[in-house]
Amino acid sequence: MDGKPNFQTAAVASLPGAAKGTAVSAADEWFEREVLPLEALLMQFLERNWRNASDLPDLRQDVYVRVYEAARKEIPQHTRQFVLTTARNLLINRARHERVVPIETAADLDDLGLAHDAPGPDQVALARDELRHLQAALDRLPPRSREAIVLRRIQGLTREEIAARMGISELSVTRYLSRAICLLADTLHGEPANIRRKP
Amino acid sequence: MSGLEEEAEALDKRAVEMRAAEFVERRDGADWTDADEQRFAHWLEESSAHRVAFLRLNASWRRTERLVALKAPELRASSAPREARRFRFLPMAAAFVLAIVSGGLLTAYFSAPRYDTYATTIGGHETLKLHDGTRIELNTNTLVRIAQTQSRRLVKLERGEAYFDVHHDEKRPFIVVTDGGRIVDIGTKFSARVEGERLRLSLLEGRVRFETKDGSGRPHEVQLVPGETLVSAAGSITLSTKAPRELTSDLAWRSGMLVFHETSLAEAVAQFNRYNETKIVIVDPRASRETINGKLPTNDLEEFERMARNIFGLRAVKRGNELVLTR
Repeated sequence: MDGKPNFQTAAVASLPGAAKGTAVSAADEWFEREVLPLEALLMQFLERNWRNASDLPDLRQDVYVRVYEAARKEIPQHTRQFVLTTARNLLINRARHERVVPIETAADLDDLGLAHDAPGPDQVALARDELRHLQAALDRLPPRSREAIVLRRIQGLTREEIAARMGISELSVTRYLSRAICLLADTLHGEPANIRRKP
Repeated sequence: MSGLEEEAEALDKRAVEMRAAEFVERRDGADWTDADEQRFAHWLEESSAHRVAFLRLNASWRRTERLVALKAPELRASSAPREARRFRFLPMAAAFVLAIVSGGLLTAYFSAPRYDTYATTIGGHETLKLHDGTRIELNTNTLVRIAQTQSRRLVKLERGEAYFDVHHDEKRPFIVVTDGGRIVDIGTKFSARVEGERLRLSLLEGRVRFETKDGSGRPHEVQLVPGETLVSAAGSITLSTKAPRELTSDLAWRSGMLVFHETSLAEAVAQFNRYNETKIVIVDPRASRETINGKLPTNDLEEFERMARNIFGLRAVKRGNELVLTR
């Protein structure tokens, strides 16, 4: 095609910014667009290679910090491979540190189809019945957090109004909302409806 | 690292996440001040851990915007002024009814605007320009009916695919009607394709609202943001986000091309056949699964044949209206 259609630049420019009034760095954009959709895959990988499930959120955060800092210097070419390799190295380091028995991470990487960096789950993961998925995520929240987030997000009430409605302090409202936001992120990023988990 | 230190670190990480969540929620509220913004910017700069925690939570928070769709549309504040306006015109309409006597005729006149029909044949590509500056590009084998009244612009997409570059006018909404639902422009470039009851809508710029009813007649609406594609079929709506490159490829027809990225030969043939009277048929199931990359003119049958021959070693046999590709 000659003459690039003009909507292309517009579509790129309208990608959500990282923060109001803060310059959107390329790393932020890359992180949102390419890394976050891989969360289900990453969690699956961590889960299978780390015995202690309660460590998983921390491990995930460590992986994210590492890949993000690397991207600040240079955006990696193959995101999938980069994220999983980072995760593997992190696990190996931790395992050495804690002197736990070997993990068969290398074999597992091939298992995940890493060898061919092609049709990633990022495309698959994004195609889903969004609303149904959101509703399911909502239904899984603890009752108070769910009530708070419904009032905030669907009914559009302010924190003050929610506090009055639920008969609790504004501080508690904030806590319930924050909790809901964290849990929703776990479900929405981490468990896409149509990525099949291996048994 | 001692066990205690590790525990402290883990606690710290959870605290970071809770703090990030608080920022995510509070930033979206009405009481967010400049001072808050500064504190927030400072916190973000403190460490990458803060930043990634925020980016992650904020991305899913934005997705929950959709939850608003669960709220029944009639509860929306925006419907109020519409009611008021209708009321104002009521006395005048009543007078009119008296004068003409036949109220039925009046309603029929207003509710059935005159439609002009535009259509393309297979392989065709036409651009319509409306007086207000709106452009509508019709892809192959497409039929639209357009009605323009004082209060709105209506396009019925009866068949095929079209690209809309709409000149937004709040007083005269631009509405695309399909069997599966209505697309209401809120200042936009978008493309829509219908195949029976299935509708595919991609938003390139601006905002667009999709309205439909489920099986039990309950209204649903979804607002799209640029880069999103909505597919509505058999009472379900699927939203997905596409990379700009993919969206561009989907619209390559506007310059008479088809673009394939890792597309199966079967899918490529299906797309190609939309543009040509002569239909390509692949008999070999193995060949159908081969993937191709690259671009082709929509109407260049010979080029397709050459590609099939050179890349996949397929032979072409012409059989009536069909071009059969075999090993």
